[in-house]
Amino acid sequence: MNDNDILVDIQDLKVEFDVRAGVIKAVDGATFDIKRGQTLGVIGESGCGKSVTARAILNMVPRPGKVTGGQVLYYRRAKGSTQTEVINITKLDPDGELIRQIRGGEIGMIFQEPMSSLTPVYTAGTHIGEAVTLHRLIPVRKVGDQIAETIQAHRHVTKQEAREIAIEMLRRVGIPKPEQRVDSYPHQLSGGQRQRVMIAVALSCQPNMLIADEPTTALDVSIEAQILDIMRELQESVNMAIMFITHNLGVIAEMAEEIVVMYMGKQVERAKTIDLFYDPKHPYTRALLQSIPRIGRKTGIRLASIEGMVPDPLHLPTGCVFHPRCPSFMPGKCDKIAPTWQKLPGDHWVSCLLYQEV
Amino acid sequence: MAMQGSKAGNILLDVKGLKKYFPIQKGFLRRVVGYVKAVDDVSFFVREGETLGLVGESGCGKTTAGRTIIRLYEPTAGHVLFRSRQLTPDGSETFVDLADLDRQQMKKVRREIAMIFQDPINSLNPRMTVGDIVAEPMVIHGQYRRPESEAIIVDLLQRVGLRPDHLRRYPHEFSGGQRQRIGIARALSLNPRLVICDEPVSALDVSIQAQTLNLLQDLQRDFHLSYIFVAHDLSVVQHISDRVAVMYVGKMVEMADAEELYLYPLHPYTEALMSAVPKADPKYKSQRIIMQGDVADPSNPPPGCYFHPRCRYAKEICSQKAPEFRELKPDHFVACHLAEELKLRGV
Amino acid sequence: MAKQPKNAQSKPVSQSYWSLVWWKFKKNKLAIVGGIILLVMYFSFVAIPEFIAPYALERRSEYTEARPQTIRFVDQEGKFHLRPFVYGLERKVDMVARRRSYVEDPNRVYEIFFFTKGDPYKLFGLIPTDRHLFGTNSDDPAASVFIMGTDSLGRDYFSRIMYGGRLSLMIGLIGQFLTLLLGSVLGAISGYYGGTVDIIVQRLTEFLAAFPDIPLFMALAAAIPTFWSPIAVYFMLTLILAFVRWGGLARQVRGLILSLREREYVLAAKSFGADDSRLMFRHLLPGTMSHIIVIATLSIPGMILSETALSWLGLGLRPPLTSWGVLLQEAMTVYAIRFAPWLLWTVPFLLIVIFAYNMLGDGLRDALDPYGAR
Repeated sequence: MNDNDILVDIQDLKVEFDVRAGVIKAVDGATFDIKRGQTLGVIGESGCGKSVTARAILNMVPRPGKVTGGQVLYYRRAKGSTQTEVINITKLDPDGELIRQIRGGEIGMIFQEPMSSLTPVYTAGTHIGEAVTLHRLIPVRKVGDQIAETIQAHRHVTKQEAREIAIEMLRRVGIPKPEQRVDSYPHQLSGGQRQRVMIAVALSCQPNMLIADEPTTALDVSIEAQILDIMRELQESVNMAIMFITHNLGVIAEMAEEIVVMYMGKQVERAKTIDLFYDPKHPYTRALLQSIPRIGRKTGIRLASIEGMVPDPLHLPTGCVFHPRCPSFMPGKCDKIAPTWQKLPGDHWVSCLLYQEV
Repeated sequence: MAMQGSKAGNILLDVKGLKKYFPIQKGFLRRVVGYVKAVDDVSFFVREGETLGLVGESGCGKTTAGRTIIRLYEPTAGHVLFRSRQLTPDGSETFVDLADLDRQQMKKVRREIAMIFQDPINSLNPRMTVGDIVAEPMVIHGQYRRPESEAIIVDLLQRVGLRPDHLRRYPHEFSGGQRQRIGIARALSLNPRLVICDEPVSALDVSIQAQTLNLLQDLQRDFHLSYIFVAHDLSVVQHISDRVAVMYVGKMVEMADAEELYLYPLHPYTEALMSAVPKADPKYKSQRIIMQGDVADPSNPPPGCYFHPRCRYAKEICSQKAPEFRELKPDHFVACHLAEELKLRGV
Repeated sequence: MAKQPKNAQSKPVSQSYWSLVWWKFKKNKLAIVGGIILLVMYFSFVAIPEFIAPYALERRSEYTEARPQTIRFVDQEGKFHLRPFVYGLERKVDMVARRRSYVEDPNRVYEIFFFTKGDPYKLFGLIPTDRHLFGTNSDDPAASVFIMGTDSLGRDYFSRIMYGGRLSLMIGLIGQFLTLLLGSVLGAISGYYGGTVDIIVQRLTEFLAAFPDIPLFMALAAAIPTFWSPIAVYFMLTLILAFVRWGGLARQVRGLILSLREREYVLAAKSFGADDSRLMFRHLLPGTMSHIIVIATLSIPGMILSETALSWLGLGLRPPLTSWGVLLQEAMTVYAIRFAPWLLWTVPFLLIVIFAYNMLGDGLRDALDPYGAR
C-alpha cells in the first residue's frame, strides 16, 4: 500500500481571509504530503484550518479567502504509465479545464451533509456533474442521473454504461435495491443513504485520492460504522489515498495510518497513528487526548480540559500560538519565539519549543 | 407503585408508560392519516442525586421524551410521577403526576425541573442581555427583586465561569461554549432539583466539551442536582452518567448502571451500538457488528420487536410479539425475548 | 475573554440589537437622505402647511387658470433685485380660440416678502396667527404670487398642494398603522395558535386577496352615508384601505411567528413556565418587529397611491376635502393638460415621497440583519 510515492505535496501553504475587521490567517504554513494509497488523518477543532487546507488542494478556497503563499503540488500519473507530471494546483485557473478534470476525476471530495440546499457550492456556470462532484446533490434531479453525468464527465463511457456503473456503485455502498433507487430523488433518501451516494459518486470516477471532510459527523453511530467500512474496503480495492479530516479522535484512530494535528491554522504535530496516541509530543495533542471521555471501565477521573479559550483569529498571541493555554508554557520563550517544524526520531514531527534548541 | 429497581435510593422521577404520538395530517382538510410514534410506552426512573443517561440514534425519541416529561409536548398517554415540594402548603414532598396537573400547578413544579438545550446559538434570545436571559425564570415566577436577584445572577455567572461584566452583553458576543454556560446558569437560577440536559455538548468542540462536562459535574455536586442527560455520543454519556437507558424508535430497550450496560449489555441493539462506536485507541482491533438496513420508521414500525429486522439473533417470536421491559438482573432492565439466552459482547 | 465582535471599538459599546441596526443604517447614505426628506415633507405638509402656503385653501381669485408666476431676480431691464419678485397678471383674451388666459405683465412688479401677513389661520390648530412663509404683503388683490398657477376657480395651486399633502401623507401613515395593528395581531394569533383560528384567518385573507380591488373599494366607499362630515368620511376611507390590505402583512407575520415559535429560546422560556402572553410579547413579536417595520414602511407608498387613485377616480375623497388625488382629478382632462399643465405639479411631490419611502425602507431592510449574515 505505501509505495513511498508522493501524490500530493503541500508546501508551506498560507491562506488568508480578508474580512472587514482585519485579516485572518486561516492556514499558516501547512506542510505535509500524502502518498499513493495512504490514509492521512487531519485532526483539529473549529478554526484550525483543516477544511480550508482541503479546499486549497482542489483550488476551491471560498471567497474572501485566497492563497497567499506556498503551493500545492500534484504528481499526476496516467493510469498504467510510470511517467509523472507535476502540476502546481495553486497556480491553475480555478475555472479552467485542467482543474476541472482533476476535480472529481483524479481527486475527489466528500463533505458533511450532501444536501444542504441553501448554499450551493457551485456558481451558475458549473455543470451538474461538477456540482455533484463538489459533493452537493441537486434536489430537483434524480440521483441516478446526477451520478451518471459525473461519471460521463470524467470517464469515456456512453450514457447507458454510465447508468450501469451508477447502479453498480450504489450496490457496492450498500444501498438496497439499487436498480430502483437509482431513479429516486435526493430527498427521498435518508441522510446516511445520501452520504453513501456521495461516496459512490466520488469513487465511481476512480480517483487517486479522496478528501473526506467530516464525512460521518452528522450521521448516527451505526451508519457511521457502515460508511467507514465501505471507505476502507473500497480504498483497498483501488489503492486510493484518503485524506480524512475530522475532529473525532475515535474515527481517526480507526481510519488513519498517519495523523497531522492542526491548531489555529498551524500544524503542530505529525506522527503515525499509534505514536500519536501513545506518545504524543505536543502539549495540545496531549491535552486533546486527555480531554476525551473513553468508553469502557469507568475510571471516575475528571476530564482534563484545556484551559482558556480559542484565541480571536484577528488577535493571535505572540510567539507560539498555543502558549496562553499550554500547561508546559515556558515564560520568556514560548511567548516570544514561534516554534518551527522539527523532525524527531521515528517519523515523528512536532512544532514546539520543548523540542527545539533556542 | 413506583418502579423501584432492586437498589435502594430515593426516586425523584418515575416515568411509566409514557407515549407521545404526533398525528400525520394530509390533504386540504388536514385529515389524520397516521401517527409518528415518537415515544411509545417508555418507562424509567431517576434517583435523587444521580445522572441518568438517555441514548439512542436519531429518531429514537430521546429528545421528545425529555420534552414531554416537562410538558413542552403534551403526553399522549402515561404517567410522569415527580416528587415535588411545590404543591403542598408546608413544602413537604409529595408525588404528583405531571401529566395530570393543570397549568397553575405545572407552573409551580417548573421551578423544580429545568432544561438545558443543545444549540448554543438558538437557545438564547439574541435581543436580550445575558442578565435578562438568566433572570427570566425568576421574572416568570415573580421572584425577581432588584438588588438581591442581581447579586444571585452575578454569583451564578461566576459559578459557571463567566464574569460579572458579562451581565449587560448580548449572546452574539460570546463563543459557543460560553453560550452554553449562560444556558446552564439560566437553568440553575431557580435552584431546581432535576435538570434535563438535551444534548448540551453535542455542538461544542472537543476541548470545550470537556470543560462543560466538568462544569456540569461540579454543579451537580454543589447544588445537589439530578440530571437526565440526553445525548448520542456514547463515550460522553458513559462518562457523566451513573445509569444509562437506551432507546430505539420510541421504545426503551435497555437500562442499567453505566459500566454494566457498556461492558455486559443484554440487548442486541446495545451490543451493536457499543461495537459501532469508534474507539480512540489505534491498537483496538475492531470486530464490528454491522447492523444492516436503516433505522425503522416511527410512523410505520415493524411488527413485534421493532429491532427484529436488523437483529442478527432474531427468532420467530421476535416478529410476532413485542417484548416486555423487565428487570432481568438486579437493576438491569431489558426488552428482549431472548435476553436470557444470548451471550453478548460489550466494549 | 469574550470574543471581540467585528465592529469592536476600544471602549465597550452597546451591542444591543437596535444599536447594531442603527449603526448599520447610518452607513447607508441613501436611506438617511430618504429619511430626512420624509421628515422635512411631513413637517412641512402635515404640521405647518398653512404657514408655508401663501393662501388659504379655498381663497378664490379672479385669476382663473392662470399660469405660474415665475420668481425672478432680474427685471426686464436687466437690473438685479436683491429681493425676489413676480410680475403681476393681466387678462388676455384670445378671440379666435375663444379663451381667456392670464399672462405676466412685466410692468407690475410685486416683491416677495418673507414671514408676511396673509390669510389668518390657527397654527397646529391652536395658535391663531396670520404669518406666512412668503407673500406679497399687500391687500391689493392684483398683487398675487401664484408660483404654481391657479385652478379653474382661481385658487392658488401651490397652496392647495400643501393642504392636499396633509391628507394624502397622513392617510398613508394612519392607514398603514391600522393595517399594521390588524395584520400583526391576526397574523400572530394565527401563527401562534394554529388550528381552527389559523384556518379561518388564512381563508379570510385569501378571500380578501382574491376579491377584485376596485369593485370592493367602490362598494365600500359607496356605502359611506353622504350626510357624514368630511372628517368622518376621511377616517372611514382610511379604515377601508386598512381593512382591505391587512392580509399581506398578516401572512408575513404568521410565517415569521411559525418559524420563531420552534426556536429553542422560545421552548426554553416555555419550559420555565412562561405563559402565552409573555412568549408573544417578550420573545416572538420582538423577533418580528424589524420585519414588520420594513414591510410597513415599504407599503406606505402603496397606500398613498391607493388613496390618490381612488380620489382621482372620484371614489375616495371629494371636495371640499382636498388631497393630491382630488387635485389630480381636476387635472385629468385633455383640456387641462393642454392648456393648464401646471395642474400636474402634484405629481413630482408624490414621486418624491414615494422614492423617499423606498430608500428608507430599503435601508431599513439592509440594517435589519446587523449580524452581517447577508
